[in-house]
Amino acid sequence: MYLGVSGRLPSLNVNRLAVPALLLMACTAAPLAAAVSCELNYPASDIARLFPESTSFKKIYFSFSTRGGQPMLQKVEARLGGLPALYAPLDVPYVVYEVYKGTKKIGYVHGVNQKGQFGVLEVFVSLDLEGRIKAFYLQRIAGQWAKKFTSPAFGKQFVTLTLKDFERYNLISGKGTGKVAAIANPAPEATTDFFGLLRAVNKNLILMDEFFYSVDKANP
Amino acid sequence: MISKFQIAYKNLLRKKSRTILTLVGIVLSSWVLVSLLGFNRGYEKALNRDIDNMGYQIMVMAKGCPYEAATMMLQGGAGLRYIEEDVAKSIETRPEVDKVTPILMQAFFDPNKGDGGGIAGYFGIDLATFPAMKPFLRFHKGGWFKDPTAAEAVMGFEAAELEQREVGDMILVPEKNVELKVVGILERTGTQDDGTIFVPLKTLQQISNLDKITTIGIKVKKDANIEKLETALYQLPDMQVVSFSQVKQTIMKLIATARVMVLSIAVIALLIAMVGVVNTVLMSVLERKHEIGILKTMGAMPGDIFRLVWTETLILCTSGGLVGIGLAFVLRPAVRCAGAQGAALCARRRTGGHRLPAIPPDPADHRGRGAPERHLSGLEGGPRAAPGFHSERSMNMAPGISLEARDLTRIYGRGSEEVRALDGVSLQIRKGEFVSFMGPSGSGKTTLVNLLGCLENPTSGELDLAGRNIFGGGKVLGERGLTRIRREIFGYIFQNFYLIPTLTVRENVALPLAFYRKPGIEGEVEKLLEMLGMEHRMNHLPGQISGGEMQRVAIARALVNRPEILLADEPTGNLDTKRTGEIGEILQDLNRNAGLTIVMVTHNPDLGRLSGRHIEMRDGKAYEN
Repeated sequence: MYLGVSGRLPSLNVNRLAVPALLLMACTAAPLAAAVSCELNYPASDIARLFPESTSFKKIYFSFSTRGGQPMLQKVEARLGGLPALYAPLDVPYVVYEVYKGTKKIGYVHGVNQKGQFGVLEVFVSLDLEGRIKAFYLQRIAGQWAKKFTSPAFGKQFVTLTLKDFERYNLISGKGTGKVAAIANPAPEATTDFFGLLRAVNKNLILMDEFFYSVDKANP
Repeated sequence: MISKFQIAYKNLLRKKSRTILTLVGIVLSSWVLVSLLGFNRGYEKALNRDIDNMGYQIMVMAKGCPYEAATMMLQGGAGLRYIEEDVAKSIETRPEVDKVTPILMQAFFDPNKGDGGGIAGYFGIDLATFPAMKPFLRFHKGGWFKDPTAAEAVMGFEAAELEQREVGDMILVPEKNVELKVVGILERTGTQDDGTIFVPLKTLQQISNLDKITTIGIKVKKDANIEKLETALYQLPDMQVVSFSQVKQTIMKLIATARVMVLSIAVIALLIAMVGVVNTVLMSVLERKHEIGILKTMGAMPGDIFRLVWTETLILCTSGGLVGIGLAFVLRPAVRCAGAQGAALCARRRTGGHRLPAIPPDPADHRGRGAPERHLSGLEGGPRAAPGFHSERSMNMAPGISLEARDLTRIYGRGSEEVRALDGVSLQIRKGEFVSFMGPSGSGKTTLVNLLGCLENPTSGELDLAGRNIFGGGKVLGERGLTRIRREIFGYIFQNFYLIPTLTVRENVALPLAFYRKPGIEGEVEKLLEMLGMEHRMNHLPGQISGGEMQRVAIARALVNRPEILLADEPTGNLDTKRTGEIGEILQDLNRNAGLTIVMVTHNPDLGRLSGRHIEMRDGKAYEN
């Protein structure tokens, strides 16, 4: 059974606890939530880490059904290369963290789910108000190579990237130029996850563009 | 012809607002009733289904699991114990047990899950027994494992959605780094299975380097004693028993409580509806006392009236109930309004007098106007007291005599006082006579006509009708007996017409036939309406015709069963002079040309003069000029 949550158990023998916890949940667990959104496991500490200058944040939920409906979904899918998103019905909730310094909004943190080699990739980026990546955070990935992708060195390659940088790179063929093309794959044996991560960041930026930056520009 | 159902249905239309309000009450009540009963049945079924969907009613697991084990672990105590697979086999042999399935639950720590790691859990299941125990599981895509040792996994829908897995994708068992191929994704079930990753038992045992299990799922036979089995299972060493039967019992108790509440509300709804219906019907009956009396003069038996009232009630209850049930089924409140059928009132057109076509009279019986045969003795020189009218006392009337009253007396009680409304009146009316009774109010003329017309019993005296002794010798007739005589012999017309406003002219005339029809009566309604010059008004409602026309309709109604005697009580009391003349002519023609015996009460001397014989009533006595 997949537990649906990850937890920090630093001072205990996790393996010894796992089975009783599993059995406990088997007897008492309620069904998991139907729709899957990508949320930070520990938003307070995660946002403080991703946005060190922040003092507060606001969580905003949205979905295609409330913002543009089917036409918007089709538009986004077209921008993603025409591939329909897996497990992404119109009402799937998306979460954006609006980050503030005092009363001033200074940026966003947004995450998306993307299919990886052995499981889901939960990819977050923090963005300034111009849509530039300030930090990259891979919350979840499965595989022996996971540490290579969660390393700070890999994440640094995404800092300062914008949506425009992705326009010069074909995420399906893997060809192109510019900053995205320059991102090095730390695990050549895991090309599925590598390209999955690139597509996740691209998808993240496109969603933010459609739902926030273009709206901010229209209503300054 | 009009049926009793049509009469009842049209009666309901007379007070549309009240009928609609009553219907709305019944609709709402039945809607609430059916919805509540449906809810009661539905949630009981749903709970039972959910319990059954667990697949097994009892789980046996190593002691300390699940609650104590977690505590023990946190306190640094002993680890979880496992169960030997043989235990499952021994449990399966018990008579109460239908099926068992061994399960191995394993959890692995995934350091790459989030910041700090997380736990991923797997269910090792026996392909031979587990799917059979949960037949409700359906696949969204793919299917179960190919063999019991395959490196494959089946994912609940939520787990697949969360991990973004499709059939054919791989998953990685953390810690062990074993790859499993996803071969099936289940449909949503609304249970914890949605978040589960199923792996073949042997595969998971291999991955975990174990040959044991953690849990045994037990499905109990339908009529087995679960408590007895639980007690036996508790005797197994180091075993913990988790029974869903206790959960089920608790739920069933809740269901029973809820059912009492639901049924109470349903009964209240039903009572409210019943009170509404009873109120409507009672009001309807009380308001129509006169009309019911008129129906009785037409030949309606008490049973007919009872059936009419019940038909109205049934129409209300059935239609309201059906709509309510419909509402309950479509689950949306709706207000059913009866379409307004307000008839556009036509401008009242007055019709001219119609001469009656000649109806061949019976030459043997016919006595024309002005040629009454007197049977009174000592009547010379002014009015005489009624007792002086008496001529003979006989059980067998002389030929040609239609009606003979002897010493008819009617006394009413008014408190301790006795009112002698009719005081020993004797008279004979011959077949074909047109007799008018005149006199001041309270003189007893209506009482006399009521007795002659068998509308009530006399206090004393005798009455013979068409050769039959009706009253006499202290005989008192019941309502049914009186009705039988009335419908055989009399037709009645009244000052107030008493037409049913929701029935058309044709239906009003046909109304007596709904209760009684003499043999050979065919096409009488149309013939009479034509004869009375009302054929062009057949489909009009009483509200659309003039007073004179209404009385013609009343006359046609009185004649539809071919009565021997027509009793007319102030037939022109509500009409102007011209209409009075018209009605008088009609009555005269009926008497002259059809040979109809007519007994009329009137205040109008002009109308009285049309009859061939005048009897004056004073202080309950009859005097004849």
